[in-house]
Amino acid sequence: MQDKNRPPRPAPRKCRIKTILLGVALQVIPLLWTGVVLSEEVLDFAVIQPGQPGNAESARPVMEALAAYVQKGFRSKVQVEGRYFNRLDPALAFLQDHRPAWGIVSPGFYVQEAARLDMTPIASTRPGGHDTDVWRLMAPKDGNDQWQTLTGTVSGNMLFETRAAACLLFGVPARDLPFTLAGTFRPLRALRKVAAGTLTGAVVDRMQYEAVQRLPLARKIKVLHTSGPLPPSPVVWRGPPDERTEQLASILLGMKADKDAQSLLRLLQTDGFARTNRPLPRFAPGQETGCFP
Amino acid sequence: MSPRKNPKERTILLLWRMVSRYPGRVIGTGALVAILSVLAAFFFLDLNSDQDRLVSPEVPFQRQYLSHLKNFGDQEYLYVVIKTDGTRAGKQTAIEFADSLNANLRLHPELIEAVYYRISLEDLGNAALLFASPEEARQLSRTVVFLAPHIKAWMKDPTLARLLEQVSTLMGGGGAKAMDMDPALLNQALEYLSSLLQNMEKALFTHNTDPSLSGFPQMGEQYFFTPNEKRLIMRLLPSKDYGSMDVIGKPLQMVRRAIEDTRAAFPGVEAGLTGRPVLQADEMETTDRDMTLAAIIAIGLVGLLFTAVLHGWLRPFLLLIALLMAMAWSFGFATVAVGELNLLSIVFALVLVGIGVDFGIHMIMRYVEGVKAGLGVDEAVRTAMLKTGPGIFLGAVTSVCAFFSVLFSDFTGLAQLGLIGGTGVLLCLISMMTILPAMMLIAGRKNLFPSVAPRITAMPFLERLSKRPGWALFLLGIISLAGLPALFKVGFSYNLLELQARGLESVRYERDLIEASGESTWYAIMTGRSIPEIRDLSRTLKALPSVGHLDSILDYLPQDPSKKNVRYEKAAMALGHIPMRIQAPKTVDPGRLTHALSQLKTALMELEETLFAAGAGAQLTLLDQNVRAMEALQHHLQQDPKSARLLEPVQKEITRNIARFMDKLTIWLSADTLTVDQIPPAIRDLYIGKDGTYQIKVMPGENVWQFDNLKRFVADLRRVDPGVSGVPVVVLESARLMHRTFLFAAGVTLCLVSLILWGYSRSWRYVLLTILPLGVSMLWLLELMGGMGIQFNLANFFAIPILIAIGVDGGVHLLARWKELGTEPGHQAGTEPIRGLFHTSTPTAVALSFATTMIGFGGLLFAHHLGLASLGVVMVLGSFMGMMAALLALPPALKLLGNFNKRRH
Repeated sequence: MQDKNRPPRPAPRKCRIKTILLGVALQVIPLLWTGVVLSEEVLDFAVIQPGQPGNAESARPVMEALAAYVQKGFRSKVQVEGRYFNRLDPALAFLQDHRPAWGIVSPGFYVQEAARLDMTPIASTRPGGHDTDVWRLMAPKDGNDQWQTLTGTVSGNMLFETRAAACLLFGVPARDLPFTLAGTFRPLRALRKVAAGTLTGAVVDRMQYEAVQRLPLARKIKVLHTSGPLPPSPVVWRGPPDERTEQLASILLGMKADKDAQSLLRLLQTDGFARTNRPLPRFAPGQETGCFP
Repeated sequence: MSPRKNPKERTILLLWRMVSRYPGRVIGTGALVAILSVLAAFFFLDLNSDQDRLVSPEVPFQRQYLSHLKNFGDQEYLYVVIKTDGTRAGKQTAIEFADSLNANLRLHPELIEAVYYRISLEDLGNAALLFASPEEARQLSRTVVFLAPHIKAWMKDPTLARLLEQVSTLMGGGGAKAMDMDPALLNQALEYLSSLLQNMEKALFTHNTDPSLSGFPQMGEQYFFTPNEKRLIMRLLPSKDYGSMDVIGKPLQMVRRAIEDTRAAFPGVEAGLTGRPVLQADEMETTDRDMTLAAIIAIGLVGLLFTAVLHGWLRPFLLLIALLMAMAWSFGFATVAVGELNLLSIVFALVLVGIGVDFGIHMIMRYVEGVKAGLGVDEAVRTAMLKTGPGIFLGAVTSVCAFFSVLFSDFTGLAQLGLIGGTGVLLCLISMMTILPAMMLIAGRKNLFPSVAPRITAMPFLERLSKRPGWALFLLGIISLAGLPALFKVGFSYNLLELQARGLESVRYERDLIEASGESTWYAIMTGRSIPEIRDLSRTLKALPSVGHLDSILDYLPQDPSKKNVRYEKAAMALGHIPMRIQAPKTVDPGRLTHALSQLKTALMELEETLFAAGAGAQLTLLDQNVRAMEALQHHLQQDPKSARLLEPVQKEITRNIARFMDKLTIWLSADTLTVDQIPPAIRDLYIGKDGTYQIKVMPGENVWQFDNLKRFVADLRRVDPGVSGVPVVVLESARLMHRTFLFAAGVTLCLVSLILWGYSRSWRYVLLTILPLGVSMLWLLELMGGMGIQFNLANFFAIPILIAIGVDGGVHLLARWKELGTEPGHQAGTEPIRGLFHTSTPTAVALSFATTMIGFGGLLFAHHLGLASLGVVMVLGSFMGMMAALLALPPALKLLGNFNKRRH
């Protein structure tokens, strides 16, 4: 017979181990889950440079190299993938469905879309080693001397974001200009047309202007108007900056001194990245009537 | 005349007898010896401008350096520094500048023995590709794999048209593939295409071909950019001529002209020349120019001063003749005793002008005083000789002490200057005691001197200062004490770059190199007996903070070749079998060629557009030229299709060159390792000595023109290897040696002078009185220097022994005259003389002596060479202080002494 006064028998040993395992599992699983989530954090980016050469396919190796570099900078704690756009519409369509964390965008794109897409500049490219860019309106040598009296079309590969370009270059809204601004993928041909007198004008950036000075073509054209100093393409962060923003910025800023990054920088056509010390203006959403306040 | 005469007085009396009896013969003999001396010097006296010979080869650091030079040959380069902004375009322009300059320099192999500014695969021999970095090896094998199908396709149809078709396939698609290429490779491809098109144009339009235009460009060229890529450095090895003053004068002139010409072709490029030999040559040139200017100023001003004080030109002229004769004899002595002049001893003539002329001044002033006092010509000359002679003799001996004190220095250059200069001073003494009196006798006897005597023979107004000698000395004491705090501010600066002229191109570029890239043209040398030893040494050196980078044979021995071999094997497999002989078809199809040109033109224009949109301007010019050339060729072939046969030799040449290149590429890709013996001799000889040891060139990591950095650098290296050598070690040790030598010379001179003065007088009171002006003047000089913020340096420290020598002179003459005044009739022995010192010509002569020294060195104040200018400042201040101390401190002290004696008596 069983003695009722005896204290209850302890639970079998197997049962106790189960309890411990369960407890441990309850503690560990969330941690593991957090780790999985952390390791899968996505830091995709988009390079949006309307008017620039190439296409998404040809730029894929460069995007992959940049993604790998950034991922390595984050010690592989994030997943990075990059997309390249040199046309405005596919870029905007992509941004409607996706939300890359950061990007390198053209100045015009930034001015026009920064407010709407919640972009914050965190660094700046340095094309040709310059911290600022200058746009110049080129016209035939023997033509008009006042840009305000030009009529017709003015082309340039940075003129796809027409509203922004008009404000950045001339300081007036595009609709107030006596001529039309048009983006082109063939800026050199546009310049040749200007020299031949078949196009009103062409806009070139600093690097293009320096390049054209080496050609005989330079003798047939002149600078009709020069913009103020413009910041080059910014690196932007979407949404409110967090600790990753600073880490990303420091990875990019360190590329100049990193020997392994030199060929990548060459492919990105920048002499490293710098802190943004002169942020570009931006249009407020729905701003249609004028340039910047 | 006193019946008892000492040997010195007897010698002077003998000289007087000889001079007075045979003045013509004395002058004639002197002139004959002078002519013989000049002739001997002209034919036999060599000039040795080798700076490495200035220090004794027995000194350990110098022995080490010379043995390195002997073992590894002269590797002192001229450095052409080409500035870039560090951008790709800037670097490309710098490369073009360097290539163009190199082409210019190559025209003068007799002046420039070697030019190092780039290295190509060809230079590295069969194992060239093993030198590539892992990234370069990856890129290269990728490129070969990428190009292999195109090359193979062309080999099946090795025609000109097919080549252009293949290139257009490569450049096609908006240049997508071309954009993938390394820009340097794209540039080379475009350059090659440009040469090919040029050759085709030449064949079509001039019916001629140029095989060099169909050759392959140098592959894998590395240009010697500084680590920050902002300067491209070209090292030139000039031929040296140690028989000329400037050693590298001709090469330097040619290089500078070539740089000028190249600059004209590249107006935007800034480039200049520097390096130790250039700095030395520029230093010589500026020094020479400054010395010439100083000499002209000195001669002009001293001439004016003499004419004013000595009245008329004849007396100064006689003085000049006597001085020139003494200098000629000195040249003769230098020829016989040494046989050569070095960079330091060459200045002995200038020093003689400064010191030797003083003896003549005293002689002439005393002669003038005698004539003014009513003495006849003979009696005046005799008095001058007998009365000033002992003082001049004593002054000369003390000056000789300053020179001879460096005779046994390890600074051979200075020792030779001491020997020649000291003997020169003695020869000046002889000339001033024989030739000058003889000429004065003849001129005086023939009544050639102006009848009116000079007015400024004495300065009686200064006598008033000695009226209250105690007060005067007290005042001077107060002034001296007040300046004491400034005395302690005087230090010693070793910075050699601070001594160089400002604005000199070589100095500017040396500073630029230091500031812009932390590089220096100086490097230390270490050696090892084996590769493992220098590998260990390199590892140790790289860990030192004061070391910048290293240059050794290890740079030419590939690191970890096995991984590269795997990549190259893959590339070789992609290429497959390359037939040894590729036969080009004999004819050229004009239709196909025109079409290929059109296709390529379209591809290039697309590429041009792409590059322009991206702002890549460097290749744009080439592309534009190529497009134009193709348009011209296309047009010509369309107009005259038969002319295509003129392109047959070009097609043949191209085929042969590509085949040859492929052959070489196959060898490069299959090389598995590289030993020291396989390194090309031109490179091996730079790093392996005649005795088989290996050298490591150690570049400093800091600006070693700063002495503290230099000390730290050498000390660090000595901890690794006490036998380290090279320019930094030589400069450091030479500077220390020079400092020690000057200090020693100053000390020895002071001791010797004191001993001689004591030997002359047997009285310490005399010694103290004689060196009183010197001591006071030195104190004032140091106080002034401290107050003005002037530091001693390796150039102006030389002034100290000279100032000691001339400082004593004043005291000797004033004291001698004071004693002489004490023997005048009516004077009571041991008391103050009846006639004041300032009523005689001696203070004027002393002042004039100091004034000539001030003027002589004063010209240096305008020198561009900052070292010379600082020497000028110290000499002018020192001489002025010497003059002040001699005129203001000694006479009151003598008067005080006289009063004291008077009271005692």
